[in-house]
Amino acid sequence: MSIATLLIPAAFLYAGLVYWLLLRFNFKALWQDNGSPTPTAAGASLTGVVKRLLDFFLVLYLFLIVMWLPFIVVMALSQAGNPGWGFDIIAFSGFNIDINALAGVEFTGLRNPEISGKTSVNLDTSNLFAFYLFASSQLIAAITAFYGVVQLRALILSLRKGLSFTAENAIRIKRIGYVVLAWNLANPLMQYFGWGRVIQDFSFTTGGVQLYPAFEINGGGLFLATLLIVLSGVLREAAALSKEHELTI
Amino acid sequence: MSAEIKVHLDLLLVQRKMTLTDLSETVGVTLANLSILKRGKAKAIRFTTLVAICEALQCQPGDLLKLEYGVGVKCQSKII
Repeated sequence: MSIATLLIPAAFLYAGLVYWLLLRFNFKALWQDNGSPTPTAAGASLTGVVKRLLDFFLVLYLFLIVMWLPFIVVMALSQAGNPGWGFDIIAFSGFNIDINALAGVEFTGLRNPEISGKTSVNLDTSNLFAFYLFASSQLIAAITAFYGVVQLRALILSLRKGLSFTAENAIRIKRIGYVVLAWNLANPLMQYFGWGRVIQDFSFTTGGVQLYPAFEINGGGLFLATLLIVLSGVLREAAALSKEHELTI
Repeated sequence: MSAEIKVHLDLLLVQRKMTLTDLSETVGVTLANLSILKRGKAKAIRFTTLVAICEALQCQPGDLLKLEYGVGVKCQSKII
């Protein structure tokens, strides 16, 4: 049995599944504009630009999520058929370069001949664990970003309709805050344990270059998440006051 | 037992042979807001609105608003 006889029905089945999921989660309702801005809405032109930008990202992230599985299948098939298979990934790693230990390298301007730090590194590797970890992390990032864009877009649409202080907007901001918090807590763990395992598989004949697992907490991201969660509480109170004001005759 | 403020605007309008639209024009409060008040959905009523309605209907605040006791009913209206 050829691969095509398997892949073509599988592609149709997958397309059907994606279509069913889009209907199941009512993507059409998510996508629709929900009306034009009210004349009283502040910054209607600015929110219009932001909405169009978010529309673009909504489509982009949805495309990435939908195409993830076919991409993995194609890569797995190409890996099986090509012994020299390799892939470019971006990993997070700590590094240390001891210039004294590198043959034929001299330095000036440095007191200590070591360069070290933590950074994203581009790797061309045939390590399958690294490839699947990279692919999985990209999928999780795309799903997280998609969810954030959906919430932010709904918030912008609400502002375009002139509805600033509503309980729904408070919930949306809180959800965005929790997503930012979860991402900034999970990402350092993935960097340390996931990429750490990948880095340990690489070895160099010289002791002058070292890669090691690195852990870096994004303080700014955690601060932003906390700020959003607190802000959502403030907005919830404002929404309650606004509703009371509306019902005051 | 909890209590709630009941608005007897409909009764007063019938007694005065007025419509909500007439009252809206006399008092200067929108029909939508008077409808909210009439249906007992209002959270609060301003003194100025109360005075205007009482003047238009020639009644006392006590004729318009009554404190009624009921089981498990939240107080929906307050005067500010």
